[in-house]
Amino acid sequence: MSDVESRIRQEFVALDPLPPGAEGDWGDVLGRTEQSQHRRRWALATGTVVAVAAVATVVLVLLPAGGGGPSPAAAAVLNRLARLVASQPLTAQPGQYLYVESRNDYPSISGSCETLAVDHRQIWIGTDGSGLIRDTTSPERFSSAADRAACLQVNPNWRLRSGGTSNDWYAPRCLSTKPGSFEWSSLSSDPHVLLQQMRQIDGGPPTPGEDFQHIGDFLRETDAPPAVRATLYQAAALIPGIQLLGTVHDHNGRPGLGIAYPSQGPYPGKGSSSELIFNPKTGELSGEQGTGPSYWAVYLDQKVVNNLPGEPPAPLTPPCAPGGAGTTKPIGPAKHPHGSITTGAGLNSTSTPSHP
Amino acid sequence: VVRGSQRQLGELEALYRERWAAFARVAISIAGSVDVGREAVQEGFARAIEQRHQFRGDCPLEAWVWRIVVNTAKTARVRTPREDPEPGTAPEGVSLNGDRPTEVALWVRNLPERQRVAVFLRYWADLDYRAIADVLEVEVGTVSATLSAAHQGLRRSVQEVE
Repeated sequence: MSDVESRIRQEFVALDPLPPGAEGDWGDVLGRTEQSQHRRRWALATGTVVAVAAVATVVLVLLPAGGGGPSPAAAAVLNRLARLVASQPLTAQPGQYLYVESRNDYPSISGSCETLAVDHRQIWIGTDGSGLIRDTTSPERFSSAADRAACLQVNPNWRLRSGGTSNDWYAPRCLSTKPGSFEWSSLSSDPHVLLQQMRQIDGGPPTPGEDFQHIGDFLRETDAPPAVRATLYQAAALIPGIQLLGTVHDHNGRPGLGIAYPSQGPYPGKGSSSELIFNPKTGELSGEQGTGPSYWAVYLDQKVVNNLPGEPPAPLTPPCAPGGAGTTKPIGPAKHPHGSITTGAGLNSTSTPSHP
Repeated sequence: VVRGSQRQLGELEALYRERWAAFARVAISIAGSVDVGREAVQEGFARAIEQRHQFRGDCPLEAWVWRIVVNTAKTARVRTPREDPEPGTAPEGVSLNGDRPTEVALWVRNLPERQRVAVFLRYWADLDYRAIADVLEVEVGTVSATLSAAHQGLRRSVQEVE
């Protein structure tokens, strides 16, 4: 150690800014995640979390949930939707892909800067864990003048991204859109047990608000079989505090049945609401939206297809290791890649978990 | 999707319990306020929990969390109204505990922000150059040059006093 370093270390002891006896509070950290559970986990590649962009005004109708148990009205609707979704043809066979198309507007948080961009997402999920995620994003914008000022004060050279399309290709076993490492077949068909399993897999505080987030995590852009989806709906019906919104309209103006989990949170004035919107004819998840701050997503199409939309720029081999470890290489110029390929190549040297 | 969400939550809790004091010292120093700094640690870890699915494993988890906490503290400092200290009497980002400012305290106060944050990470958190580079998202050589420049500045200020 140099003389300067040694002197600095000695003097820093006397400069300790931490008050004597101060301790951390992990429970407070967990409480904040519950309070801000509207910052739901957006599990896929774009790395976006919270939400902005105001959407429809929703008026709570029918029976509010009350404090003690699940809402009978919401439970009845969810159980009816479960029967509908169980019969949907959404199970891909070997060689096929589940295709999910959506649009969303969530803020992207990078350091001190919070920006927005509408994202058009297309995902092809193969039964062998191969596939493609195609993201087309609009030019970024700041969520408010205050956020812009705060960002530029800390990062004077910050530049908003111009938007564009990226294609992320995955070799077999490299793509999983599930919120954890498990097989769909390992999930219980008992909704009470499934709620506990989701807590184990998805983590977070063991609260009803987090349970509602788990439901969304397991449904959105995943290849959950129809029977599992049906059990997820039945599990949602058991969550205390959920509310039936009746007919609502998603960001595209399409009507659907809304189920919400409103939360006042532990801090005054920081309540939030998360809504899942379901197609009343098919039972499928058709949209999401929420407040505090606001966000939206609409699911435009979900179906089984026979092919990827084109040829990847390189062979999608070898497969990733069991468990998903693989390596990701960018496509295109190093500074401005327009996608990536993830395979099991080079696993012995620099393997990393490959999933987005 | 990053797998092992529950495992990551456990790792984050372990990191928090083991290294909270270091996170707090750095965040307080960056924010220039005990309350704001401690709040930044809490909020930073809450963000880490919520964003853990975005952790891609391209750096150690601890460095990724440091990055979030440092940026949260920087933002909190910008957004929190505060009174500027009298020049030369209350170095920003360090506590004087009622004593006259030392050369080191004055030196820290006068460093450019990037050098100051690197110094905090080096001496409050005891991070090595690789880890500091991961936190600041720069090359290791840049960290080396940054700290070297900071040390040179201290040598000069000490010589001036002596």
